[in-house]
Amino acid sequence: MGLEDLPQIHIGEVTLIGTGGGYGESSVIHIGNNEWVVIDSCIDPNTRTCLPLDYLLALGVDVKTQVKVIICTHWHDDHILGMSSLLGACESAKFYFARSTDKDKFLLLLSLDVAKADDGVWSSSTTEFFNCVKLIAERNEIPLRASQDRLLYKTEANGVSNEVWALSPSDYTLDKFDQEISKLIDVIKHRNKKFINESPNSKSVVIYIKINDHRILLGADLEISRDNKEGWDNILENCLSIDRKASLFKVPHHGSENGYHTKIWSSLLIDNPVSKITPWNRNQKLPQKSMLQKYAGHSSNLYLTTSVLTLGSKAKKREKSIEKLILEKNPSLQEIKYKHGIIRSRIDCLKNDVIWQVELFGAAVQIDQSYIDKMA
Amino acid sequence: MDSTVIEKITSSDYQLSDTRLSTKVVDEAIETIDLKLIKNSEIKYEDGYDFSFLDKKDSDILFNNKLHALNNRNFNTYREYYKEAQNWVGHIIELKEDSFVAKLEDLHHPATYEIASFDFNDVSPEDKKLIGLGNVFYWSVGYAVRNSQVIKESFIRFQRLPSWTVAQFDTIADNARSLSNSLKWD
Repeated sequence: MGLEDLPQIHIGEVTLIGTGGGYGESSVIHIGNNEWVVIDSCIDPNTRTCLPLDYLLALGVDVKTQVKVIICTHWHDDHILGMSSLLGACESAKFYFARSTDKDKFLLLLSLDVAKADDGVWSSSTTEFFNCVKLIAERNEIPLRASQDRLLYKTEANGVSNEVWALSPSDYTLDKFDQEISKLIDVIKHRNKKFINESPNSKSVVIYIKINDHRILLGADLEISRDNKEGWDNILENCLSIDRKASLFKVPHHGSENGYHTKIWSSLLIDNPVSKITPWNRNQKLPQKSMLQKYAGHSSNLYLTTSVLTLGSKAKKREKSIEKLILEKNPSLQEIKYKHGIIRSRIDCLKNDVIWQVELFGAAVQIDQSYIDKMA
Repeated sequence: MDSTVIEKITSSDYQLSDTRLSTKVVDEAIETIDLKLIKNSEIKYEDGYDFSFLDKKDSDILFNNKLHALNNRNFNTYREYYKEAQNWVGHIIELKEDSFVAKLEDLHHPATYEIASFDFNDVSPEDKKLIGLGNVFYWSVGYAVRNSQVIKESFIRFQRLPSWTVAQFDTIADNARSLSNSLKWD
């Protein structure tokens, strides 16, 4: 099938759009009956266009009316860029994210970082998020809170019923976020500092989707916590909305070690589930070979949105004299290459004994042992 | 801009040290004078510009180099001083024992970004105290002409914006509160 083929109303779809280099990932899901859910957003850094929006438009989806839910799992650059243009186009979509209870402090945190944009300091993720909140205010809509065991959307028509659940963050995590915000404000108010906050991974919104008898688990960037009141341990021990094992899994946090828990594979997933990973490549490269080996041990249906074998490590092409100078002055300079791939899976929701049909587009690859052997 | 606050002075009297000039300031300076420099002491923050970053003393080349680096402009006027240049804005994403790793955005062609590591020794003594996670800096490399000699240059300058004033902070807080009040929350 071509990329532009629109699924029929009884066909479920989970499409992971991802890039090399940590430019981002987004999941686009057809939950049946021409209703769509978009989780996270990312952009093409060259054109600045929103990749999930491009994809939906290429399919011919009427984004104004058919995108029902947009979820921001957390506000890291690689999950949120382009979100405001997506939300702007999807006029009837409800907007969910994990937010703190102290709304004023939360917005002050965002506002301070956004104010830095005027100084020329990057503040892309917070600016993007702030623009989404402003858009919601202009529409007189409610910015909705995603949290553990919360039903975000539900419909039933033409023999297809669906439910979209959030499995995280836990109340405990959100309470901690409230306490953390004051500290973050203290950091963020320094005008010469780009806001670098690694912690929102713990507030990532994991999504669990039910479409008739099929189950989908989308792991966002949630990590393992030392405390079983949050992270994957909390989901494994305390979530009430999980009623059966998922056959499709978006592996959390780019296949990192801290996103791996053996019990996820034994308790939440069927044997050999379709498993998808978006790589990440900055000063640290994910997934690492050892982890990919582990994931391959759980599933032969393992896919990467972009091959990690092809991510180069040279500086950008420039005038020869400048290239020579850069090499002399700082040979460590390297471009973080952008390549994007799409892993699309579709399933007939009206049938029980069927498996996901997977299609790969762009730079996406299926992982097998020979591929892993080639990794450094 | 009031011409009384811009003087035709030699650029060696002043140094542009820390921050980006606004496009408006640069445009006005270019229109007004040839070796465009702005005198620090006569322009106050209340005028809408913060020139606290202007300190006395630097060379033409360094000034032009920095101006070029900090404004992403193609200053043909400066060709006699500066041949070719490449400029980035970066921020520190990882600190090591004697070096740091930075994410860099090419100021001429902002698209994909780059990563590089820098030795602490690449940073001037006065800027060393500004090395810290998340801190923003500008990096330039280029060929300069000084005393008829072509020199290869690479330099890093960290951004040094003044802290927000109480009034600025209050305005930001007020705007945040007003946005919060305009929203319905679940």
